[in-house]
Amino acid sequence: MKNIYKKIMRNKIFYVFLIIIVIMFPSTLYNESDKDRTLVVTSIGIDKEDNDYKLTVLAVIPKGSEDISANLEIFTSKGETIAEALDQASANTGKEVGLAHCDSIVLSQDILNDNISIILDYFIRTSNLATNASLIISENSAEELIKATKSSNNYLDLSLKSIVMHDEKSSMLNNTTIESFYKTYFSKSGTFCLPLLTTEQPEKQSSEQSGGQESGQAGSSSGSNESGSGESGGGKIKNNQKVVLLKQGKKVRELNEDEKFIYNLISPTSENIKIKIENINDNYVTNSTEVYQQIKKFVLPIYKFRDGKPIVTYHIWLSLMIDEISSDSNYSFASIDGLQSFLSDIAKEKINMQVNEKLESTLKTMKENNEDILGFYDKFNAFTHNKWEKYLTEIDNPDNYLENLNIEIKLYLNYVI
Amino acid sequence: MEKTINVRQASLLLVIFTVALKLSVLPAMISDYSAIDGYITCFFALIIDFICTLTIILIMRKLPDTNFFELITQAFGKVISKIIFLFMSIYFILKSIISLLELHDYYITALFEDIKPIYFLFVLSFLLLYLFNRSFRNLGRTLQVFFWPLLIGLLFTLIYPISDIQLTNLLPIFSDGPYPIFNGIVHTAIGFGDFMIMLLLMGHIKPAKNTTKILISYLSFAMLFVVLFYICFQGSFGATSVGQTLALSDLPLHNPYPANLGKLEWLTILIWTIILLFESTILGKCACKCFGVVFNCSEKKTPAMVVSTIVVNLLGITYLKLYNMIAFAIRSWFSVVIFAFHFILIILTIIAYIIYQNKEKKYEKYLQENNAE
Repeated sequence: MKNIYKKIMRNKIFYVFLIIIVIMFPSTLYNESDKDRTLVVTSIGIDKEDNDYKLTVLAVIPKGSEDISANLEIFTSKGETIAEALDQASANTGKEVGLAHCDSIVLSQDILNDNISIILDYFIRTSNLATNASLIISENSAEELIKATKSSNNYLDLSLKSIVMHDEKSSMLNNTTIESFYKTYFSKSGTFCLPLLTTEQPEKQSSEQSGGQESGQAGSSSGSNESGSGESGGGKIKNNQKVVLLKQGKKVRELNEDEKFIYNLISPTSENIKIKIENINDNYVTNSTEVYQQIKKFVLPIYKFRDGKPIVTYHIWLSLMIDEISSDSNYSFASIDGLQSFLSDIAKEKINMQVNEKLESTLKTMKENNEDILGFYDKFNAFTHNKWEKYLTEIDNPDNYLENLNIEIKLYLNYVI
Repeated sequence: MEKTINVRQASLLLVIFTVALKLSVLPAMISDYSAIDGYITCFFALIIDFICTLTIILIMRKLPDTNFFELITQAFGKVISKIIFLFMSIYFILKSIISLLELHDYYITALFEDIKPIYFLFVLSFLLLYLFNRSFRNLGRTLQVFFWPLLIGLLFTLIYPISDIQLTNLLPIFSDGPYPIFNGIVHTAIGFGDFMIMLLLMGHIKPAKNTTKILISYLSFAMLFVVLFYICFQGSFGATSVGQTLALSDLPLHNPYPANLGKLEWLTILIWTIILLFESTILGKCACKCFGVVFNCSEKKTPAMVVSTIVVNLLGITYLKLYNMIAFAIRSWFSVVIFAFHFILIILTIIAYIIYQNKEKKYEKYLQENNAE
């Protein structure tokens, strides 16, 4: 120990650093704590009001309460630009808005009439937003969805992120973040899909109760917030699994059920496909409706040309398990036999028929509206560049490249017990 | 000639030199010039560096006891060799400044809201003074201690983004022809030129079994890692890669799903700050060596003091803004000068070696003739 001490004392640089620490350490004692300077925002809602942007921010204000939602506060602000609105929020609260923990940005449907790249421009540029925030559309106003997030019983605001993450597993949605949006915005197709959530307003009785609870907390918060008014008894988040299609940053429409089914089926990341087939008569069931759920899936898209026309073939290896059999006259031991493979040839045929019908409808919609939802331009350009370039020169209108495009789905089904 | 550094230490210095300046702002810069072919640009630039490094290693193998100054002096004379070393010292100082600015930028973006420049420069000046006084051997030995943590940290940077790679962001290659690639190589020349460290290690590496093989294998690993990183970067960000000015930090944060272990990118931050500091030290040390040669300073303290003072003052002049320096470094005339400097140096090295070999042969022939008589 003594030797180590002597060794350290002999080293001149030790004295230099000792001096630096002695000089600089006291100054840190007077520094303001970060939590007193920064408003930790976890979600932002953006609405349009009288040509201004109205921001609703959900912030964490630790109060040491056991009730999680009591540690969350909502602040609203307005401005001509997003930056101005955030500055106003900082001015209202006396703290700098910190976006390091912001993982979701909610946009109201009104906003989608404009090009949302203008609205998101602040977020893609600022280094304040350290995370890759998810984008969500609110069927009602964004403010209502943010309030519903606060009043929900889930931990902090992970309810929004959890819903988005679950949606991405059970639908065609994948990586609905700001960066993904800009990647597709700058691509040839320019299409992007976002989840649409809605809020279910509580009944009047429960809203009075929650209004009373909220106003009890009003005294502990600073800046402008909605908690005193009682209208923040915010309702519940509802996910009807609707998907909004944007093209060049503007809303075009919502996807229909056939489209959602097909895009979900061919998505390599979706995990929860349910296939329902009706009027099944085979060795196991009579006049029944069967519901199968996906256990495993592997999708291999092949991009090629046939007779000079682009064709995408999706080879899908799908492992299914019976979820439910619904029938009036079906209750036999065989129908609840867990070791029985219910995926008969008839069932497979029905599934294939259903898939082909929905595919035809989806392809028709895609071509009629000229919406390259799956980014076929980029894929053909990447994987079959020369042939794709030749194809574009041969068609009348290169922007209408979907006209001759065809999609095939080859399903390889197997049953999992 | 005193052999001060062993092969493994020299290899680690070469690895740090290769990797350090390429993973922060350089990927975005290359994307700006080469778009989708950014990773191809990096690949070709590294191939050029590899060929140059291999050339120097082969010369070192032939002349194990000759350092670069002796080689150049014997071929072109002392005046020209001192001019070359003066330019080399300026080159290393500029690169050291870029490295330190990246370190400061990394701190500001990833760790702190703000760092008062005066405090940063004050502490840095003492740190640099101490580090520039160390020898290459000290640096090599320290790197040997840090080797495994640095390696694991670097490999970690590739784990996050692998699942985000989309082939449509990487293909098709050469879609706009070779011009964007060539343009990218020239305009980002300041980020390459890794063979320069070998010029200064020439004659100081203790020969060992398989010296060439060890050096080449370490270099190949480092270059392969850099190319993979660029593939991950371009594959993940695609069209938005020009906006990712802190690639190493942006890649893990790009992942939209919260990890089970929170803030794993802190590992990258810690490792990267160590690597950048090492890089700045190596560059500064190279500048000190060149300075010592130009002004005949055999001791370490004076060059260390002068170079650290110059570096700190230049950092102050740039207001610690990395983008001021980058804007200067990517100017067409400056990029061409740096590119030409790399090219001229390697050509001069080869010419000097040929002249040296010819002189040696003539001398041996003279000795033989004299002995015969």
